[in-house]
Amino acid sequence: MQLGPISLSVELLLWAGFLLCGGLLIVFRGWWIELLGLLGVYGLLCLLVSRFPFVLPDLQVGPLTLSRIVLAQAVTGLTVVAILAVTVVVRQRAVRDVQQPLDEVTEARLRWTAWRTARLGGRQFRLVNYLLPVLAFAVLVLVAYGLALVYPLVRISGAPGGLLGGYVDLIWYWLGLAGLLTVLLAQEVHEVSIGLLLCWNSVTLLYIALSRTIGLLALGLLDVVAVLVALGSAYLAMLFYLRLRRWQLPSAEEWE
Amino acid sequence: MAYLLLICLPLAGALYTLLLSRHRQLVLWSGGMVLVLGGYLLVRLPLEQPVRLLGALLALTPTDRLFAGLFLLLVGIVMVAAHVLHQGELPIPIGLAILGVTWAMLLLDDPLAISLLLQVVGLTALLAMVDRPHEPVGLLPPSALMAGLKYLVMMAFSGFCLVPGLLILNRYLEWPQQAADVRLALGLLVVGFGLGTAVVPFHLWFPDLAGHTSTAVTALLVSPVQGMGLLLLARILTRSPELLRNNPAGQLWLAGGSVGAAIAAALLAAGQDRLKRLAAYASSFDIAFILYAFALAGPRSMQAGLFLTVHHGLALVLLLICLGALEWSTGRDDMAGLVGIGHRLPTVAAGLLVSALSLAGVPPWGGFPGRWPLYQEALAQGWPYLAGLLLATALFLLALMRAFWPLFLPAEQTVPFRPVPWPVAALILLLILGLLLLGLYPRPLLDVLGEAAGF
Repeated sequence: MQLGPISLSVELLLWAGFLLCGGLLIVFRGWWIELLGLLGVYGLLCLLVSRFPFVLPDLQVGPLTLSRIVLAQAVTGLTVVAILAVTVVVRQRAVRDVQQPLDEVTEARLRWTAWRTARLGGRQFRLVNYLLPVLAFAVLVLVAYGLALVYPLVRISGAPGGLLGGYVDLIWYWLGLAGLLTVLLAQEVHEVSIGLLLCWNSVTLLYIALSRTIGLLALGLLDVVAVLVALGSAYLAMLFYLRLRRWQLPSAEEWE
Repeated sequence: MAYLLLICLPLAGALYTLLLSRHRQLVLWSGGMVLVLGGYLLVRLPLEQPVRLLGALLALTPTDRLFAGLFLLLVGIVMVAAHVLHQGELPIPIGLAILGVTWAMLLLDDPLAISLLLQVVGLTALLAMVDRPHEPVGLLPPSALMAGLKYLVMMAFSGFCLVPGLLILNRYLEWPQQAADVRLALGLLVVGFGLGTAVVPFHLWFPDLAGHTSTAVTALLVSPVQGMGLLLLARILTRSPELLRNNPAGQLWLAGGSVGAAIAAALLAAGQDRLKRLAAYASSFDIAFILYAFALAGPRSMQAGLFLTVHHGLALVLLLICLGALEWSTGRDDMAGLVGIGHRLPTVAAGLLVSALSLAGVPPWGGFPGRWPLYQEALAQGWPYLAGLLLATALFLLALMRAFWPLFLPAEQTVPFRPVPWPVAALILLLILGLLLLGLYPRPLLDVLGEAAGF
């Protein structure tokens, strides 16, 4: 693609898309933004894999001709995002349904605590919640770029040769590092899960790029592990919410 | 077809018992039937006749059959003990699922697929970890849930290291001129296996998990799951000797690190007051010895390592069943709960002592025939290795003495206790006999394992 003096290759656009999705996941805290980012990562992964010369379209779905590998990645992406979305939505409904009778003093204290948290949270929102993730994001981009230059795995093996191989190196390092950082900065169970899934996408991409003969069994198992990670974290997330739901608030006397 | 049946039978049994989990007797009998049928199939299956399934090669060697039989025995013992000691509804279905996937791993030839199946089985076990029959699901302590989350993250990270490690190793085998690849592959594999088998310093998830979950689930983790992980490592090192042969610095680090890990695990075990956490560190200590055996990469040390892998399952399952029986009988798993147990529950006390001595490698128990060649190999490598291994053993014995001395104190009649059910006592005696037999007559097992080790 030609934008005036700037020449944009498809690989560059894909890399920019991965950066954007990774940035959304690292910098912003909001479940729908995070799930959108994860869905975007899976979509971009499908596009990237479909550009590999050895991934040939071998499946006819209506008017579309697809590769089985790409279709498997798309189905896995939709499945894990659906699992996480259902978990978050059910959690929100469960939290909303909590009705615990409270005395006036406890209610007043809770209101005061909520107001104070909102004020403090507002201040932290500007300084910490954005500055640290943005800096970490910038450092990660540099580290991923450095690693892809210093230790390129895919480019040397020549699996998807030339320019594409270089970008694949960059992207799998980026996904792994972004996933690691997302796990480290996670405040909710589903955020841990998103970080783990990003790392797993990195492993899947490396496997597809490096394997000369892509084994159906191995590829299927890679996708099964991704689904199990999502299911396991959803299960734990629900147990955490159930525990919080039954948490006994102290009465006015106990506050004293 | 017969191989497929061997894999699918326990998996179908797992699904069936999961659906019927409220009918406890039916679940137990169904599980027992699956085990008997699986054992029959295992005996009848022809050896060394590979078949291809979904592009992967399946074959059964004598060593595979030995380990498949061992895992069958251990899962059966854990299932019966969990049922009798009321350790939740899930150990039987999860045990059968683990058995099915473990048999698939034994039959498979591709290390990458096996490492992915290890991830599958590890993540499946998560379901049973938060199954605590004495507490409602919504009232599980946050620390137990945190332990489960830590396990999930560590298992996933173990996979992130294992899969790229194997891919880079394959790349190195194709292009040996990339010398950095072999170092990176070894590093990733060591970290991946370290996280999966909870070797110090990658152990952080295991004591927490063991402290919060039932002993049956921990036993399922240490016997088939960790055992299969160690077997996979042995396969990789045997089939790709370049990993250590072309990487002397890596081999040195692995051997030295294993000795250091054994010393650290023994020291950490000495600081534990809760017996379930002590069992986790005992497992970590034993696995460090097995890793040292694999790091030496000779046929003799590899044979010793495989022998110790068999022993690891038996000794740890005995220790954990005894701890489960103790918890069922007295409601405690701390050192103070052991007071007078030697008089009141002599079978449990004997099981605890035998498993501890066997894990320390004291003759005539099963750990000794595996440790003795290891000490000889360590001496051949240099006295610091032998000194390190002996120091680790001495520290571990000290930790066990500190933990188990209340066994011999006079019983306090005021503390209530329940006698251990006879099936559990019988299982403890069976495992004690097994460890004694392994220690006194190890030759047949060593012969079978010698073939796999390249003797």
